[in-house]
Amino acid sequence: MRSRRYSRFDLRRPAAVAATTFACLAGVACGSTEAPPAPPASAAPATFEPTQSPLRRLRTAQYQNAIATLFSVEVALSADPPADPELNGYTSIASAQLALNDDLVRDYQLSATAVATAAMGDGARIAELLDCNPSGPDDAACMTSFVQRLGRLAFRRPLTTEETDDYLDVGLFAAEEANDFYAGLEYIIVSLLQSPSFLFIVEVGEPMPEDTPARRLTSYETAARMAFFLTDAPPDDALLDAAEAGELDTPEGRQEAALTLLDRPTARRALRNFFTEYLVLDGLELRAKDPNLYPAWDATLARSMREETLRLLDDIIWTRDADVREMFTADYTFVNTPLAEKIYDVPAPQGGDSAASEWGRIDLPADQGRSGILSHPSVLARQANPESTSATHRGLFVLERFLCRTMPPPPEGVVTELPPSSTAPTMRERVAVHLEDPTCAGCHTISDPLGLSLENYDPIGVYRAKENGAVIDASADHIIAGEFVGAKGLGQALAGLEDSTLCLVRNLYRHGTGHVETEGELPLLSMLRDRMAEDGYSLRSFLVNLVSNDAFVTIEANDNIADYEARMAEGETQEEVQP
Amino acid sequence: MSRRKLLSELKLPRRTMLRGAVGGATVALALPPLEAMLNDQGDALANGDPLPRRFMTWLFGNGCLLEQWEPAATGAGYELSPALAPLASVKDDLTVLTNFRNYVAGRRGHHDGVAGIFSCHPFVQLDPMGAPYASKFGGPSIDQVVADVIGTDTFVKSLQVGVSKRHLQNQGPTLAALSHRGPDQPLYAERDPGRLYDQLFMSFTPPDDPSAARRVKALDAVIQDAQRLKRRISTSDRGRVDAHLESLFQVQKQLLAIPPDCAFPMKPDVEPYMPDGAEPLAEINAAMAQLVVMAFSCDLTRVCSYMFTGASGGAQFYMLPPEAFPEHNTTKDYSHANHHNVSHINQPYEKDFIHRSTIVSMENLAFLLDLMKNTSDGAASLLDNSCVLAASDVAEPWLHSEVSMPLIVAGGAGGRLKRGVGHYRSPDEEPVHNVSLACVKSVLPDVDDITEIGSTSGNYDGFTNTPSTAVFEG
Repeated sequence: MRSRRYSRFDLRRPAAVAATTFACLAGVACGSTEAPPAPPASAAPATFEPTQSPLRRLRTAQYQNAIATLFSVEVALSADPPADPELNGYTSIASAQLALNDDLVRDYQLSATAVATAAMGDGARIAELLDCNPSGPDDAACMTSFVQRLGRLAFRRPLTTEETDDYLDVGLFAAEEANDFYAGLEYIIVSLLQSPSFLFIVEVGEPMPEDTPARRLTSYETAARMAFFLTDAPPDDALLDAAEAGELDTPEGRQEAALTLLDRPTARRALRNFFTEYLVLDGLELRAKDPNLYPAWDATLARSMREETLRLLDDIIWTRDADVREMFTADYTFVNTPLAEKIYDVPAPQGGDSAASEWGRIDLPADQGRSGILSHPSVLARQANPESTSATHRGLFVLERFLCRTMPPPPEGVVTELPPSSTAPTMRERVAVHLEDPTCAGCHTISDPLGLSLENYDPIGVYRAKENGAVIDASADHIIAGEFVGAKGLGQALAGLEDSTLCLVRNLYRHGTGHVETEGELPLLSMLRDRMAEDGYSLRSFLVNLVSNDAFVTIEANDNIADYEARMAEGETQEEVQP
Repeated sequence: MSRRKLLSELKLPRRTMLRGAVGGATVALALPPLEAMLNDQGDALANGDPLPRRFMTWLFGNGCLLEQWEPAATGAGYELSPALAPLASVKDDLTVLTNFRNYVAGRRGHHDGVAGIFSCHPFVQLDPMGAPYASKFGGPSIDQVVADVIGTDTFVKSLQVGVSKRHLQNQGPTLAALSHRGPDQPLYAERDPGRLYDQLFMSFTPPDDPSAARRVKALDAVIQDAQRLKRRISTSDRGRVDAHLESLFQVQKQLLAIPPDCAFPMKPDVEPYMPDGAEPLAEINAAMAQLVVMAFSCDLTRVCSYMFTGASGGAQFYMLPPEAFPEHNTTKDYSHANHHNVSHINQPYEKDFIHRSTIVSMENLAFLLDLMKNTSDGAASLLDNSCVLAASDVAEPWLHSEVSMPLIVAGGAGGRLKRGVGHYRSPDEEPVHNVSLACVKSVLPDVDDITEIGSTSGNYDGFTNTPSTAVFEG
């Protein structure tokens, strides 16, 4: 348990992989006896291939944080953006692929209207944004300054002259109709908040100085990408100022800005959002359990389970900045009264009550064999059926989330049922057919052993030594994880595999960038994972390193930008360039 | 927090509020279009235009027990099977189709069926390395194809509603939505009757409300931002911004729309969950059905997709506890279980459970069709002037089979759909897609407005230009 100090974080340590390949690419004869200059650790691996960056719609958390940044946390309470759909495991991937429709546009209109009304009630903030005394409904100069100040925060960059004029028109029209300058401001807000430049993160980039088709994010785009990635919030005025001054154009500058961002409460909440999606923690209270077999199950308990997992991860990663592999091996957890009494069979936390709002740290009971989140009821209960556990579901969860492997669905025409408990007392016997029948075994030997090692926890996560009177055998022999016993064994096995921390960072990258990582991006993630391993597996250090890296601000050109820039260079106006 | 706040207080001039409970036995009545709008016979508008036809797709998830679904006899005199028994009151207004086959099948259970019937396009797999599986529709859903023709003049182009909230949302758009304008444009269902009510009846800006012009003007700047953005983004992103623009124009139109001369109902108040977490499916369905029928009657929309339960199951049938199956003498309680999980246990009790849940689904379909039949529409009924295509995403869930898909076509589509067919069994495994095309054509102003639907990709053959003559009159 080391505490971390980042103020002298050294970005100049070379990465071994990059050094070798960089040397060859730099024209230094491979195999030369002269040692090439070590590239900065912030360089992308030479084999890194940037990807395109499609428009990414703000997720609800980002939208709400944006309103808080533009106005206040209180005004943000009136924001009501539509819910986020999910794709390939993450809402951010859906936000980068799916388009809007009538209902969503109407929802954004209603939300913008509600926010505008609430914002106009905050006289102090409006005065701040105005910074002038309006002379009347037609005071264009004063209204222009409002458009520019608010617009910069809303679009995460300064507005162009044409843009400023468009929103000014909206304001002057409304102000004149209402004979009230402030009515104009209200409609400027309504308009800005429905604009795609607000609702979408736009990354078009600018040409690189070197001769390469890849592009570099602009300083403003860098500020936005960093802030949204680390805090699910847009850049504030200070960060935009830093961007303007070129401070985010260097790895060291980004490193410093990242450290500042990571100290904010929004950073902790952003990582909570990630883990909620990564570990599928939402909606647990909608799952049913057989009320005769598991009367303890209710919505309060289910929500407590989610909170327990988020609290443990928060403690490991933020409070202690410890080895992130403790998510697999931690020997403690956090409980409230329902969890203590119904799941862990330990005393309720002091001050605890059935309202479940008091939490306390406990050491995991010695005789329950638990280990990190692997034996958290949030995971165990979700990956189970209403009346029984599921070795296949739990095994698949571990395989997919912690080892980044997937399996195809059962072949068509295969009837998937298990023998009844009377002939096969424990789950191990009931899934035997999975592991012995050749049509099933190919896939199921990869998933089921992992799930069988967690059979000491029933469908809601309570420890049990026996099932139907027979002692549970929680041993496993797995093609990737090796031989081990129980949750502790699984935890140690995962902690000992590079794949598990690589899978974690791959998932974090997916969530933060809005796409599933490509083959060309894996070298970057491997390199950063290795560095994280050298840094005591600090996830915070991974985040700082990722954001500082050149790869973070490098994108592939989209298929229209070259033409657009050529025509702008030839003197066409924005309006003249035909889409 | 109130969801539908308007800038100004909504005033409803010249509006008569009809008292009517939603849910339960009382049925709220919608007033038909004004007498003055109809011709003397009441079977067309005064200017000669036909009364608008309405189109609905209806989904119940995760299939059925075919042996209890397929009626024994064919033809008009057939007896309803046990699963179809709830539809007795509308038996003469529908055709049961059996032995029709989904030819866009073989890749992923449930995805195959919903994409095959409701779009006739092979779906697109989103299966990148190491990430959870997802898929999206390969083209627009049939209701959106129809909406592009008959939905352009109504306040709402199309409605998307759902009943059970326990539907799959983590395998991509294909299962998450029944309506799609394209692969990247799922249209999610509204499952809260109160919010649907607001969308339909509380979204009009009163004519004397000054904010309308300002809100329209505010949208002008939004539109200009979108058009400017298009210039420097990828071609694929341009498509997404085009969809955004289409919706922005639609929302502008809605701001200026005049409410129809129609008696609006009272706002429904249905609890989404019972205390034990079960969904009151019948109550929610009743509220939704009445709102949809009202929307059709008031011509607020002519197109609707209705996801009773989600594809692949997920809904819980609390009304089927162990006591409801005395013949099985079981303690296994599936009344709070995921329908999908139950359907993968191929034992007598579980199969019976699936069958009984199908009866529940058909009871709820019957409520809707019955309501449409009892709602006058000119000289006929709303059902006479509609086409409702009801189907599921698989035939039998144990095997994810796509042969002999459960399929019902209800309504008359203003004379375009055949009457008195009864139970039609395809002699040659006719494509379900022909039925989808038949339904689409039946509601168009001119049947030749659309001559083909769907697409074919390799072995996945959804394209058709032959509407099924089993149901389509022409």
